[in-house]
Amino acid sequence: MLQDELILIEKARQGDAPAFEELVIAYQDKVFNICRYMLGPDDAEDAAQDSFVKAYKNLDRFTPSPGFSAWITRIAINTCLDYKRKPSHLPLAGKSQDGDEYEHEHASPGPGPEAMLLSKQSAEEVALAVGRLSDKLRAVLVLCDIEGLSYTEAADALGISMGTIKSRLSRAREELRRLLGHTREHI
Amino acid sequence: MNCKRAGELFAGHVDGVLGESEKEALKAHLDSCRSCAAAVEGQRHASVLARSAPRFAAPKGFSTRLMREIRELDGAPGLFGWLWAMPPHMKLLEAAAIALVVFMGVHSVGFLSERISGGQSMAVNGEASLVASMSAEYLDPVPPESLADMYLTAGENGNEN
Ligand SMILES: [Zn+2]
Repeated sequence: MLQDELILIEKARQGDAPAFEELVIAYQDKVFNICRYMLGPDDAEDAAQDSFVKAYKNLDRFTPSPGFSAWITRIAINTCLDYKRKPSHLPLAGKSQDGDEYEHEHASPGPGPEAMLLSKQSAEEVALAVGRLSDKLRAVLVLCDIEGLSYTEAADALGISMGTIKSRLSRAREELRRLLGHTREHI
Repeated sequence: MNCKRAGELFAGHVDGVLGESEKEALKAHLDSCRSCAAAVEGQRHASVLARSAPRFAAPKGFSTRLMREIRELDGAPGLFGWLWAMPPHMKLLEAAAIALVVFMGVHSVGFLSERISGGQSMAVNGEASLVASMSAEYLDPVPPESLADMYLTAGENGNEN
């Protein structure tokens, strides 16, 4: 937990809006990315905004451990699950990708030789395949592989055990590979 | 260890986060099961694929829209939204400016009432001079013009954020 963040949170608790805005700017891409993968393009921004509003309203409940990053991640995931329970929420499949902006940044370090071999697999294809995973598998893969959370952080954010994280991530990756193999055969 | 249990450990194995006992049990299984050994290689490939997925950045204006919503929640009046956005040290300037306005108002009311009703305005005059003596030492070094300048600067800074 960064000392600066604790100071910002304390200021925000006392009603200092610019301090909260600094936290928003630092975490908006993370929160939006999670919501974008969990809900698709239509609800992503609303859910991301709602996540920060919930955080703001509950700043008094924030505790320095496990830190703001894990806290806001958990809020974002729970907000997405709430959206999915709404009858108006459409399933991800068939949604348009128009207007999305990719950020050319990944959780993993720069492309190794293996990644170079995969360069033909476009980012958009991978994103679409991630969108086809089941909610449970997708949540773990987005947090661990795309957002770069540790297994412990992901377990904490999703409220599941480390063992479940390990098995779901194994299945999620295997399923992703299968989906992308399938995608390539049909292009 | 059976193949199903081994499969659950593939991601942890590839990421190097398995505990000692899990690691040993999986190694023993992989040494004797060619299908799982091949599946581990697939998993290694899949982890690279997964990490090559793009990250979506928040749309432009995200934080501005969010902060507007939060200010509305807090009931800050729209007209003074820019003031609400100020850092606390700028809000002190606001307090000083209000004191200045009150001082000038009370002073001119005292002056007017003295002219209108003569001796009856003693009490008002007394209050006005009390406010004047309290405010003067804080406000005198800063002329009203420079306060206004600082306001504008603060408003601009707030908007940039
Ligand atoms: Zn096996």
